Amino acid sequence: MEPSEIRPGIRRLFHLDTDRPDRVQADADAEIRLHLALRTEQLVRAGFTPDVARDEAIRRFGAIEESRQLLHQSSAKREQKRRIRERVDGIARDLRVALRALRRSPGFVLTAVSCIALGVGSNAAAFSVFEELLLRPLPVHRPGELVNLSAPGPRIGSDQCNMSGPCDEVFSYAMFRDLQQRPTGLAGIAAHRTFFASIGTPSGTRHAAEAEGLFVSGSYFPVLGVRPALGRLFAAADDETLGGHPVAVLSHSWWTTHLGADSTIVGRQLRVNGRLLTVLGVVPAGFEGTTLGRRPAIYVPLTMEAAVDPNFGPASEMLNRRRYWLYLFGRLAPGVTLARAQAELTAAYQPILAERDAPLQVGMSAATMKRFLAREVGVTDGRHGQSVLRDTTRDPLVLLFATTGLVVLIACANIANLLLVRGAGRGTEIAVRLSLGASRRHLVAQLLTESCVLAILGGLASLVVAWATLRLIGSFIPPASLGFGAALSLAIRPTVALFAGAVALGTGLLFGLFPALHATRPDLIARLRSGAGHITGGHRAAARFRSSLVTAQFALSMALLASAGLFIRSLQMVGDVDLGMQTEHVLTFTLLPELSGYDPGRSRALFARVEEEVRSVPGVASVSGSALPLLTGSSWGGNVSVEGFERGPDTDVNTRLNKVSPGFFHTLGIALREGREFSASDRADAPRVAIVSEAFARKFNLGPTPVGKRMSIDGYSPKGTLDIEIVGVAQDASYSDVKSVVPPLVYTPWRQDTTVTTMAYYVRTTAAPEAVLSAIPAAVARLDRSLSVSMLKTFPQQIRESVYLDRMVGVLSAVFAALATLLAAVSLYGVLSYTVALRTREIGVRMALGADGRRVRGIVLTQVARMVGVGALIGLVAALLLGRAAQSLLFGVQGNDPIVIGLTVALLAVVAMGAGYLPAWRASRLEPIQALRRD
Amino acid sequence: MPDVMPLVKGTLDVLVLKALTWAPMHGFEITSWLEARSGGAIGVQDSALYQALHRLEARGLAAADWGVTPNNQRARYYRITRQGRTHLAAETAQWVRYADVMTGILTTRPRTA
Repeated sequence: MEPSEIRPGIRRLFHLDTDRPDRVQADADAEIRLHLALRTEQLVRAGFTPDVARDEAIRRFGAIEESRQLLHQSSAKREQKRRIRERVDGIARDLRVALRALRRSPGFVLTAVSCIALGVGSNAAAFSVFEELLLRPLPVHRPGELVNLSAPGPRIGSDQCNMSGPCDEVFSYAMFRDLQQRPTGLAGIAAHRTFFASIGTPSGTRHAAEAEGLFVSGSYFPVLGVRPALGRLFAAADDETLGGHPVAVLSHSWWTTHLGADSTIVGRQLRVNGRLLTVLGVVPAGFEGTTLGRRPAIYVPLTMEAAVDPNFGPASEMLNRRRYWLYLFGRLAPGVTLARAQAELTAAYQPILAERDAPLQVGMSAATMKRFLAREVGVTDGRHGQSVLRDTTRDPLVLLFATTGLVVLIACANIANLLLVRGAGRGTEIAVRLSLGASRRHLVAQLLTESCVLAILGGLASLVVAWATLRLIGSFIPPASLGFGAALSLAIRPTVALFAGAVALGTGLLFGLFPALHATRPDLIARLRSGAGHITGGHRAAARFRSSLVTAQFALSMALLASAGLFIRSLQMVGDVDLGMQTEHVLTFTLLPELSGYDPGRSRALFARVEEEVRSVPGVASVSGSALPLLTGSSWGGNVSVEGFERGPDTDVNTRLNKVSPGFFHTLGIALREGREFSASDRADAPRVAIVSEAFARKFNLGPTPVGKRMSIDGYSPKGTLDIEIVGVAQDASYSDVKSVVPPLVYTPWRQDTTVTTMAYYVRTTAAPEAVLSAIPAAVARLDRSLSVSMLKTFPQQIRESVYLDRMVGVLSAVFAALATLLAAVSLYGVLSYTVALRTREIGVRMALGADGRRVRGIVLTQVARMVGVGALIGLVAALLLGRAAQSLLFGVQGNDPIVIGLTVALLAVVAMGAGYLPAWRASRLEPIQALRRD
Repeated sequence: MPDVMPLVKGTLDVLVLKALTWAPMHGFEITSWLEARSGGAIGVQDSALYQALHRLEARGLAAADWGVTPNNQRARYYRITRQGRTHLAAETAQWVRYADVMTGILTTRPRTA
């Protein structure tokens, strides 16, 4: 029979080759040949001679060559169609068979799917955060062209930096305007600065909403290439005259949530921090400013800074060249490289420094002045915007992502192991199919289809795990507020779902391949023929492969457990830091009355009255305030002159500052080493006083009698006088964050200062602080209903939130390590149960020869010890390397901490023996006779 | 031999399908069938027939399988598909209507005044 006469179904069933192209062409030729022959025959019958008949047949046929071509074409097309149809049929059939096979073993499916879901889900969640914080560029026009500017180097003046970047990235307003006017290799430069905004209706009748605001230069939106969703955005003309542009642009989300997406808002007014601003437009949805973790609700022209931000100070400060407070970015002009932009910017920057800034840098030594004049502009990739969050979270996120990657690997090993066992159990079925003529390729495809189905199910389930993990991650990140925290949208975006799908499928294919190849190995038939009855999976290669999988799993678990141990230990150290104060039974809140239209004088009057009002709340023992909220990442600094301390041009005379109420040290339990606490009599009209910290006393050599010495603070004290008397020395206490070394510190009474606009209150309670917490807003409202209370929480909670990254890394790495170890233990259990079943006969013989249960258990547990021991050893090396790499994330603990390593090894040993004991015990309970009878 | 009429454009496909409703045929049988049915009035060039078969197959109106002729020669037999039958029915109806209308118009004489 010719192959082409076989029906397609039969052809497929027997896996016969489909027609080759040359055969298809020959068929077409044969068809024409037959036609010509029959026609000739007909003509001969009609009386023509054979030769004439043949010529006539060809003539009547017409365009033979053209017809041949057409027939060839149609045959080829037919073949192709058939091949596609067969392939689709094949896949559908494989799928049906796979589903049928899987339905028969729900336990296996459940185990495999949960392994994939747990591994891939945690990995996808980590990827989601990773992508949100580190990968995704700003949603603007060609983000790759954006560059961030910085100007590191020495300078005199005040820095004001925030979440948008480190302190050497801020410029003065005057410098920004100067740079804008010179050629810089940039298509445009933009400046921005966040502020705290209270947004209300023009009449001010309704309670204003607190929100994040952003001052932006007129070039901000044009440089980004952002188009309005409504109305228009700022242009250069909206940002020319200081204080002269009472306009605003709203964020899309604020416009939607607070104004119900009212499109008539354009042209209407809003009251922002007491100023009436006309709304020009709304930015597009998805644009949330250029600082990750901050979501401005409102954009205001930069020239309005002094008029709208109560914390800024007088309008003249705008032109202060020694006040550095603006973050700058730009867009590269077409064809300009980063290096060329840097060179051109520096060429523009240095002459401005020399002509305009250098004369103002008084008191600088010649050497420092030389370095000041040589400062260069730093230009870095700006596609992700400007944010310190990216820098602080990069290492922890990379670590978590890598950790979950390892969890995926461990889960993969589990899948491979499960599939191997399953393949072994189906040896007879597969051998029969092979001997009946099924091709190995086809059977492998069939088995891979099964693992793909598992992968798809696992991938779907992993989205649930990813969602839950994201919720867990999100619960660690405090909401954006004054000092820290971040507004992030942690969600399963399409990229994340795609990622999860790809990882899950990769898992299924990659780790299904060896088991599939192994299950269909050719020697199966021989074994079937040899009459072994049933075929076991006790193939040497597979056994070795599977115990190496377990070894690898334990190695990875060891590494993960050790690093988790380090982070937990580190977290413990963070919790154990001696803050130098008693934080239990203390609650805190912050007031910013200027947002409700208070002037500085009224604010200060209010601050004192709030202290009295809160003191009268039942359960309150004492109340005190500090102008700088403690342990929120905020910091104030200044240079001081101290009696008896030599101060040269380049001497470091910097200290941190804070302004506090009477009773501050008592309320927070900060011990006074010498002198006295501030009292109510330290008023504005009394002599100026200060309490310094022990670190300050050491730095400025105050000697044995610090109390009574005099000092002055640059910018606050009249020039050339030492107008402040030191009246006490306080114990060193933490200032801006828990983990940094406690700096030298000067406390002054805020009542002697006219610039205080913010007050953080600390309330010591006699009962549990949670009970008093709810009474605070009411107490404040008794004084003024329009005031809103910010950051109301217990002090310990605020401190916990300030170390949220440590907590997140510690808890998550522990969760992932536990997950990894659990998976490894499951795997070990599976492998042991299987080998014990295989060795039943051997064990039976041993027992018949006199081995007792203990001996048999020993045999099995030795196998465990070998697998786990080698794994732990490899894992130990990995753990030490990992510990060294993660050193920068650790606090107060070394990457090779022997206690942590020791505990990890012990834990791993317990888990391994636990997983191994049951199979070992089962082996020791075998009845020798039964064991020998089997098979 | 009677006068051979040229084939109206587009009719060959329908004629071939009609032929195949009788029985699966190979190419020469179709030609012979057409010649016999039309009493030789319709002349089809053989190459045109094969092109028509190619078209019908591509459109799924006809299908082909290899078979053997009564004289034991290997030949490709074409048969009409279900889709082909539907197509043929529709085309036939249209042809009949077309022919009626044409006949009606062409055979009406102007009334003499």
